[in-house]
Amino acid sequence: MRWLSDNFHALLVADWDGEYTVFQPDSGKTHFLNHMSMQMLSFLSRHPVSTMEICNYLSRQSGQESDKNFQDNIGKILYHFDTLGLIKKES
Amino acid sequence: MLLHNQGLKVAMGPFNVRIQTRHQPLIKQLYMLYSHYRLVQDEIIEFHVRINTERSIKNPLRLNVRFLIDGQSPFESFPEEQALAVLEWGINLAIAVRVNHLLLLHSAVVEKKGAVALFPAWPGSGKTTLCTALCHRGFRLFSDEFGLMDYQRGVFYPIPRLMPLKNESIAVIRKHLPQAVIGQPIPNTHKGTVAHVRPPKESMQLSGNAAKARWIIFPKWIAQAETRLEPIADAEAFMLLASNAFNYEVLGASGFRAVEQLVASCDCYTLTYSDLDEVTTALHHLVDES
Repeated sequence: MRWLSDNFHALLVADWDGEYTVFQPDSGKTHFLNHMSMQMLSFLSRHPVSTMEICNYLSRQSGQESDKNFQDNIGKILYHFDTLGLIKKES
Repeated sequence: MLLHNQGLKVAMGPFNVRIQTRHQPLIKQLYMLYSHYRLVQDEIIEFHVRINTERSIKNPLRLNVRFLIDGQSPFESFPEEQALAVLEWGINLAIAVRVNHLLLLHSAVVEKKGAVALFPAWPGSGKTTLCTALCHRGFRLFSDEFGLMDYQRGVFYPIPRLMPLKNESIAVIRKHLPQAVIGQPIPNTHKGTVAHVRPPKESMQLSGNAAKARWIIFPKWIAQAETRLEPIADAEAFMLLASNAFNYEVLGASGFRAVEQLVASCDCYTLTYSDLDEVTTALHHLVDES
């Protein structure tokens, strides 16, 4: 399964020194994202990637080991983003 | 007589309101508490409101009052002794649901030295009590309830009105501000006992003077707490402010940009306090040192 940001370039983003508030025009909702979440969303805007590719990318960016705990957390964020309509599965 | 027929036409910040009623007790209260409100003559009226009396269905010997706006009744009737409270709540409702050309914050707002301090907070935080104290002690009252932001100009409009104290705060303010003019307590409302403070004359006279915001302060009264003013991260301030805006979602992208602009241009704090003298001093210090 591969993921892709949904309408990333339509988002309005306010950068507060590494924390972000994001307006999603499609839903009219505003979200708070930390630095890693924003990196994930931005990464997913380039091209479709698998969950493991996302974990590897974020692991390199953050310096954290991509262990099971890390991967589970990434999985939860992906699920949450999918629910919010910020990302979608590649069809 | 005026209130029966043409109605009492007053300015409430950027809005003009026409109030009509035949209820004598309410007329007497308005005479005292609205004495500093500017009367309007030939200007457009935004809100036409009326307080009617009617017999209670459950107890026909009892008189109730009903709020109407443009002839429509948005909520149930209430016991007649609550007439002033019902009028004020009704006008609040009218502003909250009809005004969408401004960003409407649920916030107390005061001004000093040409800059506005916002106190966004949900009910029960003590913002009206705090606002009442501040506007009698060197700050200009903009509002105890609404931050009206013209997001295209980046300024706030004053809308000084009666300040409704609730329950224990009535006695607190009577003791703290013996000079404040407070209406008769109205018991047994859905918010408990309510009493309205007349806004200071100076604040009413300056109600045409808008100003930009400089501080966003999220207040919380906690019994016996030390006064603490602590910086808060901008992202957190943004989310709190957005959640305290009545029409943030209605405004969509404009609302987002308005809140972004506001947070970016203000210093943001949380405030906990219990003592009105201490917190007033602390806020004067914050303003004077900026």
